[in-house]
Amino acid sequence: MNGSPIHILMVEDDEEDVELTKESLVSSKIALDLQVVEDGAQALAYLRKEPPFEQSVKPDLILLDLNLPKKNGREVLSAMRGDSNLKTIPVIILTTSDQDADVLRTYELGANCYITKPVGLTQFSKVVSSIEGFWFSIVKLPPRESQ
Amino acid sequence: MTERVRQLLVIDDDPDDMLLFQESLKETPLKFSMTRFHTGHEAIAHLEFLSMSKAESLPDLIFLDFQLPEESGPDLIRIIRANTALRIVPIIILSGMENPTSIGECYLAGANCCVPKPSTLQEAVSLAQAIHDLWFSNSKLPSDSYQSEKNISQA
Repeated sequence: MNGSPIHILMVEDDEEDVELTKESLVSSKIALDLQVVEDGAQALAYLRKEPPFEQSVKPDLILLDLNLPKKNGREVLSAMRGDSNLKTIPVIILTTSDQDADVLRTYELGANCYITKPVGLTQFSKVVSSIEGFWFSIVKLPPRESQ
Repeated sequence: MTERVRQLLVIDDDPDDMLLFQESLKETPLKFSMTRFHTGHEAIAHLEFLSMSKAESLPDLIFLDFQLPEESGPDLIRIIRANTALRIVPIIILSGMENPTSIGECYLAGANCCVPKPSTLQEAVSLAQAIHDLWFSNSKLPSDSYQSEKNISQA
């Protein structure tokens, strides 16, 4: 991304999961800018630069929980895929749900990848490392000008 | 994690690139079977045939070379995505030196991600390992859910 950090928006209401993610990424060799919002309504306001997020930077990638206050992850994803300005931002679902219906429905809605949060710090860290090793290190993300 | 054999479908006109990718995946713990096509229209015909059968016969992942001689990557993605049964099979684009606009078009058409096509063995092994770790060790694929549904219905 031309030397500038990869902007990531994490939509997560569980503080512990946010902390675990930050801890897992702290030693990353990739330049990352991780912003966090706590519910689905905030996520859409952030993405649309609505108050109080007028200064937000459009993320290169989103880590989206499914079970969120106000608007759930499915509603956020659905709104994004219907918005020409947000349509191509890759969305990785990161959730405790391992329900087959959730997996199939979120792929149908346009999720790019679905990951179930594991229990325990070591396993959680492994998952974050696999996201970093693929999505942040290898994947060619959509160009910023086309988003 | 499940030990089932993963079905991979690869569309690439270059046999050497296919072989490099296949051999690199063999370096990972992944158990897989690879179905290969040199053209998009052959692959689409095969996928459309599979789509009329049970969901679990569909590939776990599709790897599509962006640069096929007579077909555009985004057009092929759109054809696959227009088929109800195929629209959630993840598609990974293997891209060369495409400009950012072409990468954007792939995402717009419905690709799950674009990765650089490896040109050396070392790059190919790194890519294969990262694909294994992300998609087959830590992600839930649509095919995992078809399989689970099948297991439940058989129980």
